Amino acid sequence: MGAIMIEYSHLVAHSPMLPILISLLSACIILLSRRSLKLTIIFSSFGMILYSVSILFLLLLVQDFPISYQFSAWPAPYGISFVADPFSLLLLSITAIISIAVLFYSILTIDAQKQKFSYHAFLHFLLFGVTGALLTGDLFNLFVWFEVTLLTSYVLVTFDSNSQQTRAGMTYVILNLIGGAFMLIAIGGIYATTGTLNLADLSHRLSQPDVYGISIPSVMVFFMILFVVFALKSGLVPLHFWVPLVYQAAPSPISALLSGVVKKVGLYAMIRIFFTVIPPTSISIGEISILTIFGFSLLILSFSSIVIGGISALGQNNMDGLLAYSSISQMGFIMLPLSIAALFPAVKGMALIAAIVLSLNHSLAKASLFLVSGHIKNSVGSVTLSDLGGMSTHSPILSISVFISLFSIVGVPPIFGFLGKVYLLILSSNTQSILPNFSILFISVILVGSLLSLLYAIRLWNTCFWGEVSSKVSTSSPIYLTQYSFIALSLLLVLITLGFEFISPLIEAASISAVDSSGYIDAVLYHK
Amino acid sequence: MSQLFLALTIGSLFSLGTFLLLRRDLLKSILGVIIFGQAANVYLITMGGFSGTVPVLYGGENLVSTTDPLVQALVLTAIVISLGTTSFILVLLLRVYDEHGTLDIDRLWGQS
Amino acid sequence: MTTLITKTAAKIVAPLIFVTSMVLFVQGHNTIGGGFVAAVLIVSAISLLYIAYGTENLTRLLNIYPSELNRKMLVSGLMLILLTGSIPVLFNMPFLTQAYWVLPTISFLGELKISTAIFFDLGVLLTVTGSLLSILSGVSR
Repeated sequence: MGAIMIEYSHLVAHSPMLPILISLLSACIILLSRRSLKLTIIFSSFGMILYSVSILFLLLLVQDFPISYQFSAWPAPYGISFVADPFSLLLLSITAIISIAVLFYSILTIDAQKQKFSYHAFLHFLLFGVTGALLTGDLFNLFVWFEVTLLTSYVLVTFDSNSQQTRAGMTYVILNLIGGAFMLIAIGGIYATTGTLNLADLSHRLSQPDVYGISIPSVMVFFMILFVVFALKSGLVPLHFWVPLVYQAAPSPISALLSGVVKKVGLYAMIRIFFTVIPPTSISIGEISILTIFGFSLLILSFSSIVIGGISALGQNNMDGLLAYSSISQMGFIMLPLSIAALFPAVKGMALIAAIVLSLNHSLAKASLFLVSGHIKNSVGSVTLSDLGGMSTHSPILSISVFISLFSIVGVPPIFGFLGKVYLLILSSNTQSILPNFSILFISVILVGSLLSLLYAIRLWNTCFWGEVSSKVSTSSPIYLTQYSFIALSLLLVLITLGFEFISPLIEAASISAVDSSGYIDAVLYHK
Repeated sequence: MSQLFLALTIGSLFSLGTFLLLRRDLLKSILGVIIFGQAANVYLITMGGFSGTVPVLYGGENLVSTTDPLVQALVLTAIVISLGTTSFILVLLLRVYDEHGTLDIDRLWGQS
Repeated sequence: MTTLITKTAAKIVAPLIFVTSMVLFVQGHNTIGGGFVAAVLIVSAISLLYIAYGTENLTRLLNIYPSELNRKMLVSGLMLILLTGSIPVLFNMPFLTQAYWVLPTISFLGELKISTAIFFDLGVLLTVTGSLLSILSGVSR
């Protein structure tokens, strides 16, 4: 058959589908090779490398405009579309980077029996779900990918199924099931009112609500239900209580993946729905547009996340708990520019850049810190703050890596996180010309939140890394090889800081594509 | 008439789910969650409407009496997903009972 | 539950369920049915047998180690799904594109159409059966 020939052009045409195909295939192959640990590890690493290569390929391919892919050749509003644009690809690359580190760490630390017991397969299934969620261009499909991600994360969170994990897992599963039911309600409602589920078509129809006979109040209600679901997934304050439970209970590489990758899927969905799909002006009752409601709700949620997460992190006496609450507070910081973008469309571009920079920084740094916490758990045997002390003299390289990640999260000047905070501050001061009182509020909350993060970072640093070497630390056996996983992540933070001029076009393209509804519609519906 | 009946069914399923969800027994609250999910599924199927306002094919406007098949596909998918999660949560429940020896929420979360 | 009545009833009912599930599987392409429903029916038949005869007895009777078999079924189902999905890619058509052939008319069967979707459905059937059975064997103790 002459038709069977994989040419470069074919590869290009099918590229948006490759990452999910690769991750699913490697999960299946790993499931087959359960007998041998060596084979499992080889297949898993090979699959991960292939996955990263496919994402790199996509990254090189997608320059400015999104490319779309139609499954089973059904045309766009009817079939399922996959859309790869700079924004989803930026998050995908972070996913790939963090999962490589996590895989490396897992191979070295998770015990052989558990690795053979389909740990790697679930890791790849998780990647499968996350990739699907980031690439899909269909609202119901988004729900399905969410569920795939969640189902695998349930398994991974309760992987040791000890008493702490089963209990935390229970909370996690019940909350997410209710969240899923609500998402289904919202999706059903959106379908009934707009008559489509394809995100591009949805965006197109929402921009002309009169033409398609869309009842605006009901659409607004359903989108706000979706907003609540995404807030649950990204762990914002009134819906945050699963975060510390799950992150403390789960194996540390899984906590790293959850905080670095899975949480960001909620963020991604929020940006995609509220900035790409919903047109800025047409969905409004009188003066109040849906973005205003969204912006105000998100503002309240992110303010309370920043403050409550920060204060709770201060009160923690173990490292995992501190990191978990810190991630709630940092999620607030990431969401704050989004709410500003929704409320003040004039500064939208910059706000999205701020959100993306902060989210990149948080993903890398928090994943690295969770891996550190797992490493300490393995070498010292405890992550309770009072058991640790003087780590900086005992294991200096680890401490340097922690220093970089921890203070990048806080936003201490030379490191990457500082850039995010600077963007955030400039952004808040830019809102002054529109509503003067608001910018003072923004700046004060940002400063209070940063102060709180600085305080818990210093507390962690002082008790664990400075001071007297505690007895547990001095008797602990050092492990060298696993260090490279988190050292690589914090090194990457430093590299990104140094070479920000190389990264900034990517971030800029991502922020532009995140708000570019017409480009999205053109790519999916008209294949431009 | 069928609209009213469906609305009543969905309403009672949601309220039953919520009621069970708020019980102290973990098994009951899980049953509540499951019923809640099923209520969402029933709700989803009503969202297609029964008049066929959303044709799947081009030029399908004259097939006025068809029911929208898309929601049925959606519900099927949702049912499959809920089957997976339900079985997982029941097995997890078994593990919780093994680990803690109780399914009373107060005692589970009180003992820390 | 291993009374004589249950055993006898299970012996009669289980094959009927199997046949029904096969009918549902084959007609599933454009009428009610499909891989998932068929798989659920198969599992319900097997669980009926489990209830009637007990897990250990049935395992000994069939002379297989069930969890191993279930896992193989699950994985091969997934692979089949992937394979049927990816074959169009080799012909430069989108993932999951379907094709169908009309078989030459056989006297009493009439015109038979066979589509690639049935292999996909078979994959679904295997995956769902495998996963549900492994859940059953995990829970039964």
